[in-house]
Amino acid sequence: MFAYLIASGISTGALYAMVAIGLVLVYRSTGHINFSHGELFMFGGFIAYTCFVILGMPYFVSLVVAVIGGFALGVLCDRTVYRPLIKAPALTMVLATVGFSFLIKGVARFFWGAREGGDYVAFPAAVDPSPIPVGGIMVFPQQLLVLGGAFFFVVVFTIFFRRTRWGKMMQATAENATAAYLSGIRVERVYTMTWGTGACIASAAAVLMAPLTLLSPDVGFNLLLRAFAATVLGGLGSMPGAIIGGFLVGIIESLAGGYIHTGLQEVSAFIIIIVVLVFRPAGLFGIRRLRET
Amino acid sequence: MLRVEHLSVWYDVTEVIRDVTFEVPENDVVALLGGNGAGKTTILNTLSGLLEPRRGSITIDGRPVEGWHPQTIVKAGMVQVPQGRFVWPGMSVEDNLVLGAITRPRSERDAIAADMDEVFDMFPVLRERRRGFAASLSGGEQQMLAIGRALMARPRLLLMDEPSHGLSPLMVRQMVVAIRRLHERGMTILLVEQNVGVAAAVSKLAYVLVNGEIEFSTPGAELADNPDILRSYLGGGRY
Repeated sequence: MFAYLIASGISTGALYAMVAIGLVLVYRSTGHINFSHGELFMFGGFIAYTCFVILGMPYFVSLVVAVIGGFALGVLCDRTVYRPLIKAPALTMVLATVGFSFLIKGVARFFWGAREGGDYVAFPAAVDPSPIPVGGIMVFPQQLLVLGGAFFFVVVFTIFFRRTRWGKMMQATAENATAAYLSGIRVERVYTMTWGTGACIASAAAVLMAPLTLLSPDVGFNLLLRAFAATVLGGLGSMPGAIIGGFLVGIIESLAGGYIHTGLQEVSAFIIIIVVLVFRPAGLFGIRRLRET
Repeated sequence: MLRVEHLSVWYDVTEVIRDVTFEVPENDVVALLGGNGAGKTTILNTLSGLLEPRRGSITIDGRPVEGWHPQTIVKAGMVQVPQGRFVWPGMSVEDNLVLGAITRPRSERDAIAADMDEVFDMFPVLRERRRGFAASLSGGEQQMLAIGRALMARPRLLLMDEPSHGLSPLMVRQMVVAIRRLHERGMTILLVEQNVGVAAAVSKLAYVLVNGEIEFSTPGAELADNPDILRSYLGGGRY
């Protein structure tokens, strides 16, 4: 039981970590929490659903299309929400991103919602749905795919941030935008790239997760909440913190649901946010990050 | 090389730079002196494209550059070493320097590597710490890194904002040596300073700024003996 719950928590935690990476990426660059991030995740899932289920494309191709579509949506968010309000107070940005989330949700509901049986649609498993034994516990092959996929994307994006010119420009802008301007970095383009990249990571996570759950236009908020709990737990703004925080939220949620009450699974993220903010507001890696800077 | 004429900059409803005119000839070191809040950094940020002037003109070699994007200004050869260093603390020394050359085409990879070597020759401590985080450098070393990063863009005109600020006397002396070496290599420098000693040691001409206006100018060599300097620092200007 314990091993199964841990395994299940790790696979869902990997997804939370991916969503949290996008959230942290935008936060570090712009200083704002993107409250439409969950909806970008949801929309990526529906793009993949359209490709995979409606158009009959292969799973991998659907994943690529969703990632590209997610990037485009992130860029749209930058151009229509962030850029026009770049000098506005933080609260204005909060309201604007919340408003954008409702807009995306409405569009998703228009195209994919209100079907027979409600707003939920099933995303078929990309691999054989029968559970298989791994190390003495039964797991779904899709869970292994999720874990492998999440690991792959975390590695790819880590290499992107550490090694590529764009990744370094994004980090430089996040650390000090004025210095970036003065060095000749086109900071506006970096912001666009940041919103796009954050959204495409979320889309990839959605495509990996969709076969394990159902897709609906309302799924984004739940994911945003968990990713936010992961970033708060890891230390808002810390990339390694977001990854570790994502896994911890997944595991805590799974253990709470398995050992205490299934209802706790739904509210674990809230509890984590409250406990961390009360007892360790800087999160697990917050203090170290402050020392670094 | 750089000519600023009748420059006026506003923050909302306040005019912080008033009708400022000065010139930086090619291969000279010109100082802009003034106390806190005199408007020195505002002028540099306007020259770098971070702020837009309300009136006046800024020309480099006769080309008007006011209102240009900061990147275009860097490409035009005018690069700022900002106050407080502003290095990227979570990135390595080497990455800080590489990003300094971001406006140069990728085809110049070899030249960029050679320029980095030159920066390391100029500031050997950066070579020793090239893989370390910029955050781990001392204040003086971060200042060296900020200068090195600016040099990676191959500027013709360097705008230095208080390079001696917050440094120990020993580091200030090293900074003066570094500025002299840059000048000897043909670099044109506009040096913004509060430290009269530093400005006197390196500049040919100094403009003294009081409350956003050029109060007077004086040859750099005469700075230390000029009684008007102290008066202007203590707020004894016209306002």
